[in-house]
Amino acid sequence: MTAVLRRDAVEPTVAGTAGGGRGRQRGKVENRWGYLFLSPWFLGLAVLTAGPMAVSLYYSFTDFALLSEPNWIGTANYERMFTSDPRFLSALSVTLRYVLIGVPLQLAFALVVALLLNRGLRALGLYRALYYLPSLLAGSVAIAVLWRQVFGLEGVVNVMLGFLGWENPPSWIADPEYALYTLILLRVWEFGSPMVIFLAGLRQIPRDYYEASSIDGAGKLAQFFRITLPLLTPVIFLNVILQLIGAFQAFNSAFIISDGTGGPLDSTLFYTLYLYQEAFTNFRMGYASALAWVLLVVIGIFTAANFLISRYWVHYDDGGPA
Amino acid sequence: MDRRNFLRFSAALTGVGVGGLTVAGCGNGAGGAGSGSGTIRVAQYGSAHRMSLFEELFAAYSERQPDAAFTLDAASNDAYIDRLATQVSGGNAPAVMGLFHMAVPQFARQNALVELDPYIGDTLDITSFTDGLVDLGRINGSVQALSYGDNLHGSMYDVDLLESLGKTLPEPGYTWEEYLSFSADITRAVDGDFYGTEDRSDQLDQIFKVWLLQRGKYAYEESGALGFDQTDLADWLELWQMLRDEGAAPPAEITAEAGGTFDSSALIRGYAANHQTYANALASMQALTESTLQLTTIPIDPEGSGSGHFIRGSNWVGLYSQADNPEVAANFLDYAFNDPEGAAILGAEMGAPPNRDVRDSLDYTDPEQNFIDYVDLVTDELADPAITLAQEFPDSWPDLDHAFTEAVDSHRFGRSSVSETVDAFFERVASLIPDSA
Repeated sequence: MTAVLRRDAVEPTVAGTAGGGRGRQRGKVENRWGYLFLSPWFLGLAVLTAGPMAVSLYYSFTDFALLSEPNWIGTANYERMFTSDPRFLSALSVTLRYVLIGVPLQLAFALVVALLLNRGLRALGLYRALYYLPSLLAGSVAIAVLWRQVFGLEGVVNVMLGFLGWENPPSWIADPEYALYTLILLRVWEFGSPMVIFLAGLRQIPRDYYEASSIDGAGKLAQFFRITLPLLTPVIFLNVILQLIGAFQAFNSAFIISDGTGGPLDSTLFYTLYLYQEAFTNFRMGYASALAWVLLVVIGIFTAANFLISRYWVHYDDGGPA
Repeated sequence: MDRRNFLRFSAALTGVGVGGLTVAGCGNGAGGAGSGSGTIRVAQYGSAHRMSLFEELFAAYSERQPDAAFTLDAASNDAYIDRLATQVSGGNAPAVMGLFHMAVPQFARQNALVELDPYIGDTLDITSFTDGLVDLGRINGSVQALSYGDNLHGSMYDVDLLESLGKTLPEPGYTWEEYLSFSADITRAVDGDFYGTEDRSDQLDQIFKVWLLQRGKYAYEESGALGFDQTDLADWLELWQMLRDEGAAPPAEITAEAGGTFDSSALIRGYAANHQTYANALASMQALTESTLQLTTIPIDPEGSGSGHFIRGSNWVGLYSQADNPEVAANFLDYAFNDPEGAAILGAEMGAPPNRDVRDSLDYTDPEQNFIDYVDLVTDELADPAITLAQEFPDSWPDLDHAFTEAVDSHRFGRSSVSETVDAFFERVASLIPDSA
C-alpha cells in the first residue's frame, strides 16, 4: 500500500516531461479506439448473450407462460423439478446415458480412424475430407430422417440382418429398448471433428520417439500405450470436453426421429427436447428457463470434474525432444 | 485512406449500424396489431395450397371492400403456435389468428382474444350454422373463437383394397364386434406385416373420446375433474389387447413405427387398411395415396348411450384483443363464413363450411364431397351433443394427454399389466388434477 502511494507521489516528477505526457495521452486514445473496435462484440455479448441469460434467470423464478405476465414464485419451479416431475428425471437419465455411452464410443472410434489415417496414406487429404463429411451432415434434419429409414422395421439394417438369418428383427427406432442406441450410433457416426483434432495431435508427436523405441525393441502395441496415448492425452482431454458439452445439448436427432415427442415411452426424451416441449408446446417459459439453468449447472459440474480428474491422467510434454 | 480516416469511417459505420437497428426495432413495434391504413394481418397455419386459397380470399374481399388490405402471416403447423404466442407476448400479434382447437382456451384464458358476442347476430351472421356450434368457443361466458368449418371423428379406409378382398366399407354405425372380425379377416387375407385396423388407442383426443362418450363419459368433467375412472381405462386397455391378440390390430412396435403424421400413418406406410382420425384429414390423406379412401364412423356400441361422435370445430379463428380494427376483421370473417363467393374459395379446405345453406350449394372435389356427405350424415343422424373447448382442454390438458399416451404405450409394449398401468396412471392424475383421484 505505501509503496503504491509513494510511487503515485513520485510519478508526476518522473513522468513530468512533455514526451511522457504525450505517450500517456496516446495510450488513452489508443485504448479508446480499442474499445470502440471491440464494441460490436461487447454489444453482441450484452444484447444477445448476457441480457437474455439474465432475463432467463429471472424467468426461472416466475410462472411466465408466454401469453401472460410473469409472477414471482420463488424456487417453486426448481422444487417441482426435483419433487414432482417424473419426466424431468427420465429426460435427465436418457441424456446421461446418451452422454456417458455415446461420447466415449465416439472418441474411441475417432481415435481408431485417426490412427489408421496417420499411417502415411497417399491421398490423406481426400480421406480426411470424406471421413469428416458425416460430422457436417449428422446434425442435419436430412440425416435424422435417413436414420429413421435405415433403422426402421423394413430398413436397410433389418434387410441385412434378414440375410444373416435373423427373422423378424425389431424396429430399432420404434422399440423403447433400442431407440436411444440408434441415436448413440448416430453420435458415433459424427466422429469427424474429433478425428481431425486427433490427427493433428498425432502429427505433433515426434518421430524420434518411435525410432528410438523400436531400436530398443518396442512393438507397435507398446509404442501405442507408452508413447502415442500418453502424448495424446491433452488432445483427448480437449475432445472429451468439447464432445461432452455438445452431447448434453443434442437436440435435432431426437426431435426428428421421435416426431418431437421423445417417444416411444420417453426413451429418446433428450433434456433439450423436454425443455423445448415445456417452452414452446406447453408455453411454460418459467419452468423451461429453470430447466435450462439446471442443464447449465449439470454441464458445469461435468466439465469441472473433468478438469479436476485431468491432473491425474493428462500429461503435458513441455520438454520436447532433446 | 489513412489510418485516422479509416477509424472515423468505421466508427461512422458502427454508428449507422446501431442506429439502423434501433430504427428497425421501432418500426416493428409501431406496426402493432395490424393497424395502419386498414391493413388486416391474418395468421394462418397449414400447407402452401391453403395459403394460396387465403390470398385468393383476400383479393376477392378487397374487390368488395376496396379500403381493406391484407397481409398473411403464414407458417407450417410445427412452427406456428409458438410464434403466434411470442407475438401475443410482444403485443404485436396479427388481428385475425387461426388457432388449433387446444390453443383457443389457452389464448382465451390469457385475455388474448376479442369477445365476439357483440358482433354475433350483427356483423357476424350465424343463423345457418349447425345448432350449438358457436357455443363450443364460449370460454368464461363469452364466445372467443369460431371455427372455419365443422368436423367429426371418422375412420377412412382404402376401399380399393377392401374391394380386392371382396369386402365393402363398413356401414356408418357398425359395432365394435363387427369391427373386430372385419379387421381380423383383412389381416388374415393380406400377406406380411399388414393389419385390418391401425391402433391409435394411445391418442386421448382421438378414438378414445368417441368410445368414452358411448359410455356417456368425457375425458374431463365440466368442473375440470377427470371424467373417467379406473374401470374405463382398464376396459379400454383390454379391448385393444383383444384386438391385437386376435390379429386385428398391429403389435406395439409396428404402431410405434408408423407415427402420428399423415404421411407416417399406418395407412400411408402400408401397415393397415384404415386411419382413424379427424374426418377433415380425408383430402390431405387422399393426396398421399393412389388408392381411393372413403370415410365411415368409428365403431359404435349398440348398447351404449349414444354414437359417441360429437361435432367439433376443425380450424378455429379468433381476433386479437389488442387489434385496432376488430369490426373490419369480423366483417372479413363473415365474408369467409357466409358469403357464397367467399365460402366457395375456401371450400372444404378448413372443414365443412359452417353455414349449412352455403355448404349445400358449393361444388367439391371427390374426397371433399365424401367428407361433406359424411359430416352431414353424422350431424343429422348420429351425433351426440358437442363439448365446449373449455371443457375439452383445461390447463392440465398437455400433461394428461402425455400421461395417457405413456400409460397405453407402457401396457401395449408389455411393460406393465392392466392393473399396474391403471394404478400408475391414476397416481399421476392425482398429482395433475388435485380434485380427481
